[in-house]
Amino acid sequence: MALLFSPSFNEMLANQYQKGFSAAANGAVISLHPGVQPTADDVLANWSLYTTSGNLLWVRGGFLFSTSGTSIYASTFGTPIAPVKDGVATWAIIWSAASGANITSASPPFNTTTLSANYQKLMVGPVTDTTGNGLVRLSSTNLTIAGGAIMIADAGFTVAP
Amino acid sequence: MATITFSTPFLSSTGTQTSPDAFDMLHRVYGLPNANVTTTFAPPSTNSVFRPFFDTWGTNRAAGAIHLMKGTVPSNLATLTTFSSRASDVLATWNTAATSTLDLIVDPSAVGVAYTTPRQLSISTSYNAATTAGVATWIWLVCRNTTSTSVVGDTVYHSIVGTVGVPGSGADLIIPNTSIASGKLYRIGGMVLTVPQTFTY
Repeated sequence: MALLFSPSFNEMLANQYQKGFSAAANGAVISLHPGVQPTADDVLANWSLYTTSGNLLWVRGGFLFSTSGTSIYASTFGTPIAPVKDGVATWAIIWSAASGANITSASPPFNTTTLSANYQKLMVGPVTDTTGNGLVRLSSTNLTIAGGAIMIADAGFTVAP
Repeated sequence: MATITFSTPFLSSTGTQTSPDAFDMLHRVYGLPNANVTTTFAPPSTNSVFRPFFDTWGTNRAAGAIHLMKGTVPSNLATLTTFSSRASDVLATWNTAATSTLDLIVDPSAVGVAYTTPRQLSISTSYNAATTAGVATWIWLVCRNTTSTSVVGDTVYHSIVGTVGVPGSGADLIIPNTSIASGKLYRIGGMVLTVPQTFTY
């Protein structure tokens, strides 16, 4: 049989994520992307592909996360900002970095091989509108530059009990 | 069902940490010999959520233990609410109690050092004598409440339960012979827990 873990592990996980995403001075960064959702390690290995090759639709920093039981959710949001490219957002990256502007650099804005600071956490998950259960949810996943500044509706997830 | 993945460093024990990661969920290390992991993570003693599973250093050192068990394998953890639950089925116990030599060795240098083996925790034990004879059927990793290195309680904070069997059985823990003799010395040579990287919710 598979190992049985007590539900406390889920709360531990949620707390770890919250700590990781809220520890940096500038809070967490959320970026929205089109296409097929990759893995987190794939994003790290191909950072420029996902962030500087036309696969970046929207990015904003300044998010802080909170926990409630086994849930982690964005509790403080950055100010709205316009998309950088037209497209349908299907997946998101959430990470805690020193500066959200660094997403357009050629390599990840943090050390990818060792943990030496709080801001080296990265999570990849789906994007949906508010009727779905995406890690990040929007009022509409169809993003346009012409539509002006937007902000996500919410972000977070609940670890299964 | 949505799937999220986490970067390997998030779940790695590699390097010197200043923040808790998944490894700290299982184990807290403060300057153990040859340990490559140091952390300032100090779980509140009154908060079970933040208490690492195997705490082999500091005031919570007595918290972690492994029971080798006989009898019916529990299908859930509902009946394992105290450290002494199923006490009559305990064949042998290894723990992190306040003795000069730890029964339970949670070794961050054995795995997780190389980036190729992240998210893993190696567990081995010293030899302990079995206290009861019987056929080992399951293993219970348990964390209980403590207020010092010598004062232990009976309240269970975290549990992991797995099956025990002989090679080829497909059990979670493989041992050469499941027939345990009382008074005979046993040890766990190498058990690895791997924290998953992909979760669904």
